[in-house]
Amino acid sequence: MYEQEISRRNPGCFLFLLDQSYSMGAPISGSPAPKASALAAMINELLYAVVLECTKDFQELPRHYFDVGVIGYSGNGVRPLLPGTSRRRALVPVHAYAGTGRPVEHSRTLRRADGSVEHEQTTVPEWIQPLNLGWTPMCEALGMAYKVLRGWVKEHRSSFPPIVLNITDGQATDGDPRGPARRLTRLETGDGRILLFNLHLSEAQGTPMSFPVLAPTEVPQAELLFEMSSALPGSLVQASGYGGRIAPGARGFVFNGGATALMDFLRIGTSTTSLIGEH
Amino acid sequence: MSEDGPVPGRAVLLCEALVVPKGRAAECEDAHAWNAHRAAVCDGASRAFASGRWAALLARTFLVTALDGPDPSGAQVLDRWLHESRGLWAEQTAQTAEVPVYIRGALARGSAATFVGVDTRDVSSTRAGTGPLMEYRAFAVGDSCLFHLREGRPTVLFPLDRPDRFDTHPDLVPTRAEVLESLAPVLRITEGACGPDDVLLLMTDALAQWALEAAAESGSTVWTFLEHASRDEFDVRVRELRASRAMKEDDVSLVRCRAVATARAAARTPAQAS
Repeated sequence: MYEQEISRRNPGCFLFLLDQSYSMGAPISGSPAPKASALAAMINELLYAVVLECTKDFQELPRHYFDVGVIGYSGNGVRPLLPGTSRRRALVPVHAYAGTGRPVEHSRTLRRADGSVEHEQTTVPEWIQPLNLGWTPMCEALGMAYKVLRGWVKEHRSSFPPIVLNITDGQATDGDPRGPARRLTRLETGDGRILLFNLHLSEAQGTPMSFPVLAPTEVPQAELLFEMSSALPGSLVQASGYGGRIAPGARGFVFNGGATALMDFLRIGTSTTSLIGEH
Repeated sequence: MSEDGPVPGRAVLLCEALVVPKGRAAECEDAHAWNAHRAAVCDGASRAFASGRWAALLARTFLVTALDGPDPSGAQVLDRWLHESRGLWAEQTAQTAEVPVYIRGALARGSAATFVGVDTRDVSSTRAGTGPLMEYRAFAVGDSCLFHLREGRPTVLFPLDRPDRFDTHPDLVPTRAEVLESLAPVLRITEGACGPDDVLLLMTDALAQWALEAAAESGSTVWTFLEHASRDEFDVRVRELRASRAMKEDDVSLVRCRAVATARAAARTPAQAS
């Protein structure tokens, strides 16, 4: 289980569920930036990293190694966010979204070994805009994920199962999300059940609880998200380079995460990009 | 060490290549090249951008670069080759503004490949009786290998000599100088001499690892196979090995080189590259 190489014959799948509720306007722990901005920036960076992993030559579009979707949930409802997607088609192959990002100029300062300083200007694409508005309809978002992925797993029986990364800073305002989460994670390919990983973003300074093995019973909200989260397969932990730092049996779950924890969480959750084998 | 073109009456390399891509031939990330005195095999890193192109450029440039740096026996000897290869790469990949952002991004991340090359020197005029025809220096970065067989048995296994020494993060020759300025920290060098009964086998990692495993399990039959298999036999066997998971799913390249007298070889040893 969870061993299938990613290829054009057997593509992988990422689905991001982004909490865009009002409270995401507060600063993220470890940074002055609002949670919504930090999250959008990291998701854009990640979407671009996936594109680059699939880009193999000048004369061809990025290869179809992954289908990708981003679903936002907020006072605006639950809706797919990638350009060109819709409720009926929330997942698209990498090449379908690769060229649709808005180009944004980024500058960074590089310090050379000899002490000299160089300013580098790069252009990167941006697909997701920050938003923080209204309630947190997480159950509905998990329900949409189920509908989107039910068809995908039927069509990709030999593929590594889809990975769903849910990033939130609060509690669902539309019910208990454990039911929809259980239903979602019962879907499977021949290589295993869908993986649902959850990250709780925090504005509080403090040590995040990252990838626990045992349920954190002292905080009900943390316990609930722990219950919703799949165990991290060893293949993913190894592929991400975090082997040795994450205990066997750990759940794909972070509580009270800040910017660094979010980066680690996304890196581990999308490490199937290093399982691309070809074809 | 080498000169351009074969000279009648002297020893040269006679080479042939056997390649079995893992997928579409046009997407093969392995490359090879040879002329009368040098041969190279490169394996483009699967996760890198346009790594087959970079591998091909490295192999071709190796044939024509002078290998006489400030310290010809030192690890910097290939830095000129690296520098020239990077210059050609920059020329060939210069892009216009119309290129998609992600192509520019992929180019900025750069490419990389493993490398094994052999540079020979004709010593046939000094040989006494059954002495060597050629002396060679072999260079390697990463897990592409050179195995030197004499009378069907390996005398040099370079740079890796055991199957458990292969891993998923071999040293690489990168396009970006920021990643690796000089090859000195990763370059491996060995020397040897070969006679008329010897064969030099240059190959990419999947084949090399399988060969070392097979040799450990069942002795010299694997070397006989690698030395003598026809193109069809080789193709069938590699596909069988992949299907049975005895060999990892990867492009496979084998270049077989023999030292021979030019009277026989001159007409048959044009420079080759893929």
